[in-house]
Amino acid sequence: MWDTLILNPMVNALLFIYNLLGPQLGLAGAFGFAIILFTILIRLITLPLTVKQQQSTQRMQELQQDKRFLKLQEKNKGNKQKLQEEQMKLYRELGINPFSGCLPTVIQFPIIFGLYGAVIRALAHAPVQLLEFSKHIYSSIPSTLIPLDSRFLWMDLGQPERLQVGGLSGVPFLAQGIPVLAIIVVITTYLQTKLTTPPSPGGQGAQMTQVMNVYMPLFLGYFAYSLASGLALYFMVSNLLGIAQAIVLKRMRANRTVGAKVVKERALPKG
Amino acid sequence: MIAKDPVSILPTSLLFAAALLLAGCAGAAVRGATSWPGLASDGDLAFVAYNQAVYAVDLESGALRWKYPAAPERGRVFYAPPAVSSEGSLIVGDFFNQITALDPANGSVKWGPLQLSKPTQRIIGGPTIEGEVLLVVSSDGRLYARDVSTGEGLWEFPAASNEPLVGGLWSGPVVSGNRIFLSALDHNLYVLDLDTGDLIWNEPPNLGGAIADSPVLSDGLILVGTFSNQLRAMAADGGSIQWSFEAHNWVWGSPAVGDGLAYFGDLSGTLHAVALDNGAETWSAAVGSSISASPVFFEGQVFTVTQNGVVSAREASTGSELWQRTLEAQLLSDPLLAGDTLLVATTAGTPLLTAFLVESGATRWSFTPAQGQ
Repeated sequence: MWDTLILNPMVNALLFIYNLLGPQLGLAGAFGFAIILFTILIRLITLPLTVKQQQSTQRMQELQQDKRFLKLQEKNKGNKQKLQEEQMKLYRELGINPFSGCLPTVIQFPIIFGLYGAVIRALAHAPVQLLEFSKHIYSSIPSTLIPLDSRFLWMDLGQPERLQVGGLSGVPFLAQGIPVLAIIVVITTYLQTKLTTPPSPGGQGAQMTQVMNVYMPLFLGYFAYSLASGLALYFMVSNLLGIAQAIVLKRMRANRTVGAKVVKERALPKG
Repeated sequence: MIAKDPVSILPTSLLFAAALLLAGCAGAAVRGATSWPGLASDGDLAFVAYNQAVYAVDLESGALRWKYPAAPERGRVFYAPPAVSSEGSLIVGDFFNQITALDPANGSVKWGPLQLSKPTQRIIGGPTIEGEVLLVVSSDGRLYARDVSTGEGLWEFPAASNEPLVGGLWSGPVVSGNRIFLSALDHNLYVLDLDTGDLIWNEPPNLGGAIADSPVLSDGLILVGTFSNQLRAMAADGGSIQWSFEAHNWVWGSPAVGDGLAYFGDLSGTLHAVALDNGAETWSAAVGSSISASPVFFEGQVFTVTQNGVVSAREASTGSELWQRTLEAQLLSDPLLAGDTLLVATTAGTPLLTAFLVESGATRWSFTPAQGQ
């Protein structure tokens, strides 16, 4: 079921793009470009869901600055259960579904997993993986594509990435080269997490946000450092698109807020 | 101080959990078993290269004689079929791109491990020994010729001028006279001079699909299975295509040859028998699961293993089944004939090695490494 509906279509879409760019158009580094294009495509498809999730997070954040919400917090300081009941009542009054931000995230999961699985499988560099990969390929995809040419810029996308720079042979940790992609993944993951996680006023939520801001970049950075660079490329592109998306959404929201203020001021009686 | 509503951080928490899961999946996918056991025998012992050790198993009793290395070593895993030299060396290649010569009697190191190129590359195909020359293929796309007694380098052949070779070299070369026949994942068949490593056929024939296993030489023909669903036969003296047989899916293993026929399986789960002189199909049998291993021909019988664990013997002339056994594991490795015994190694299952009597299919013994072995 998972393979038929999600994984196989993604694997074959990736191969289709690779075939178009590489064997058909003769583009060098076609597999790297195929990963980039495919990630953009998937991000575009899931854009409405991401927008909805970010809007919902934003609404929840704004609500926390609302006078009524603050009053509730103050009033039910020592009674957690009562506080929760009152909060739910307020959500209902204002027509907000506090879980509406989760649904788009949950729906995105299979797509993210599928994309990830497709990239991993296409990077088969050993017999068991290649044999497994063969089961996912549609008969319409020419078998002459196999094995995929995994060279992209200075990387072999099936191997961990290191940029060889002369004169580093004696430098500790850098003798094998500089892990450029891993560094970019750490930075972009940090920026993306920062941009998409609303600032927290304090308490448990704030702690968790801080933990995520620190550990998520390190965590993905470590995997980008130690696993096939095709995955690191996917992490990087996905992060960059996430950052761009978050910036655009923030600007759009800011413009709307300014617009609403202007309308409100104009509507007020003069004097 | 105001406590943040936990509901508002749910989406981000979920994404974080997804990232953890994804990273875990990637780790598992990359670090899991990456190949299947490699088998060899010197007539007294069977050698199985699988995962973190090479096991030497007594052919009579199935008892473990020794294993190398004695304790697992970081980064060293073995899948390539070992090679036994007539002068008493067992050559093993590992997934750290190293070769080591062992004493087959006790597993002690004669020389090595010697690093061929980057440790991120792998030795997947089995080494070949021809006289004093040891030939080793690497996933880096190079064929290495070394002195079998010392491991000293003789020459190297880069199968592609623009390295790394796409897909690399996964199958051991075959030697006939002074010529080396080397098949590659880049769809080409290379023919080289054994003394110098120079190309004999300056324009290597492109066979239209990746080649994952060794070529087979028989009756003046070179037979090669390809991922373009074909078994191709070329003239051994010039490389001209004599015939091509269209299978139903990728042909991963090498064909077995006997009684004027070539026997091979494809990933659709069909075993084919085609005439060597014209490539016409004599018979075929649907076996119910992918065949990636090479069949074995012996005295009018053909033995095959399938991915879903079935070992079978068929009459070579008609394809009718003589016996069938099932193991609870995947069978991806080429089975090996040792006297009147068929050795079958399993992937991700137990026992690791089973010895069947070719006559009846009865189990002689089976070998499973004990805990900690």
